[in-house]
Amino acid sequence: MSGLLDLTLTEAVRATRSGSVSTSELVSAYLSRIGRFNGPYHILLEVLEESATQRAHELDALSASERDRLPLYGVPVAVKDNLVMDRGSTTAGSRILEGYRAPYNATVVERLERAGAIVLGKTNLDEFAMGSSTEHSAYGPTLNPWDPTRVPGGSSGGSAAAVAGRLSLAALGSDTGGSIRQPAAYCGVVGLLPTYGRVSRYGLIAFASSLDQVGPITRTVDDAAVLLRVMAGFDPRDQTSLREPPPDVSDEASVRGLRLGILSSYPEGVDPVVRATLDHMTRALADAGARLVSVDLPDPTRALAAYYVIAPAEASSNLSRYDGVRYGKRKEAEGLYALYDETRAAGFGPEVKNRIMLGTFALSAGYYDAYYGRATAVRKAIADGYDRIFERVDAIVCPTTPDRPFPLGERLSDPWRMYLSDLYTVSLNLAGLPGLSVPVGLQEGLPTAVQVVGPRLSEPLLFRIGRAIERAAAPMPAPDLKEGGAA
Amino acid sequence: MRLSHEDVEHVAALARVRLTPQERERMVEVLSSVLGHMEVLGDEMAGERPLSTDRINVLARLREDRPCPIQDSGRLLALGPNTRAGQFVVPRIVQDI
Repeated sequence: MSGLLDLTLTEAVRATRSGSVSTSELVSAYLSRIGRFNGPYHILLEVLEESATQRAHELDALSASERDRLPLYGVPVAVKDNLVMDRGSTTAGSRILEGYRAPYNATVVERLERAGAIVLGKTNLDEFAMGSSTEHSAYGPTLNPWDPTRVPGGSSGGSAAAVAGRLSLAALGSDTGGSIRQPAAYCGVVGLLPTYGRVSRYGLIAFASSLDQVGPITRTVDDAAVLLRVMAGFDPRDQTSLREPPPDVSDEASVRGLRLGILSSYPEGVDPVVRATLDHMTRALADAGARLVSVDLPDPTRALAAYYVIAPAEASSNLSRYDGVRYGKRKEAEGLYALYDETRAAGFGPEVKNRIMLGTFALSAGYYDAYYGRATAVRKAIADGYDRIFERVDAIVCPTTPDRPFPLGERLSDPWRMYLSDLYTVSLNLAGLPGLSVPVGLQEGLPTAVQVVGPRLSEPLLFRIGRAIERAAAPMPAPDLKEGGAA
Repeated sequence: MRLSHEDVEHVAALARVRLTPQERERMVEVLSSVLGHMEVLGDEMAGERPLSTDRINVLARLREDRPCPIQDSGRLLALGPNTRAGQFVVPRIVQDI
């Protein structure tokens, strides 16, 4: 593998600014790797080779002082295909948006490009971000770079696999119930769910608007901090955008004196490797000076149930816009309602239909109070539960997922079993809290990870703990991609 | 809770999704199974104040009401699968008398 592809984001910016590497060389190295491995691993749905190459040439022509003003000068990034861009297509992994060409850029894309980043392409995802394996993409699954017989997680599986497999230096994902953190954990990279409202959702194709958040997927915690600083900040085009300045980037990595919450119990079914990894890491953090405090997370099983009422309910409303009239695919039929029914029947895949049906049921007359009403009350109890925990601890260190990358096809016929993969991630979206998944090495050839959870707007603290975890963990090697994929 | 075929058909009509007989069969099983796991939401939560009324909406704010540039209508119309004379074409919904 070319040494260029081993540079972290921070190292790459230093190299391109100094001129020791041109942005064209860097982009070309990534495009060449995409050319070799995107076919077998199915990571990017669209490669924007022409615009990326052209942008690299433009950036190469900048003066030294102009380069220094761009915090992401020459950084190749991949963008999840539910974020719109004014070039290429945006499918959200769905047939109903096949060939859709958005007329504008998402705020996050605009901010990254303004900071000097170069978009290499759009990454695969579960249809409309609904899934935990990328197997629900209408365009076929992405394979895990560590073991192509296993899933990369989801729904941002393409973004996580791109960063892990060195098909991109960094990537954007979206996280509604774990869709950045779970694939990051499965692929051995860093994934951040920012505080709700920290990053603009303008230009993110809506799944569940009170839960959706855009975040970075990177190889190191420092890289995630640099990206978040560029992505974050108030955007008048998103009604839920916080009037908070972007967080500062530091290199602090000490956990001395911090009170870290660790779980006093685990529900049944948590993989012993996950527990052992976490125990090992929390001992290392204690050795580094952190004080460990036992905590009970707000009931994860109840959080999961509440999430799978609220998210589908919001999705059923958000996805009502796909009706074959203003954009996307259309299936002609006699009469307006038949046009809607036929277009949606042909355009949506099975899991999206499951969720639209579930959400419509939960909001329907006679069942609203029993399902949606109770779920929103549980949501409040969960948020209150976290408030109480954060009176006693500074942050929580817990699993990202209860399990490890599972074989392709294993859970497709059992939706609840698929949903269980989100056991430790959904409650943060319900409460609007930030969470950082940090890889801690390989076990039996597959990545393992831990999650750090903090109060609202505590991302700098999460990065600090994340750096300490990185230092205590075994370094992550690069996966050995096979040109034949799973063959 | 176990849903019947009629329940699924009713919800599909509300959701504006036409299901094939096989999909309807599958949906009865999938929805009934998932709803079974929702029982943990618990009766004691009935009547509790939901989150949406306080914590999430506090984030929402209205922007100043002033004119701003919008997308060119020609570009937006170009996205439509069937357009004519600057308008989206839909099947006739009002019949001639």
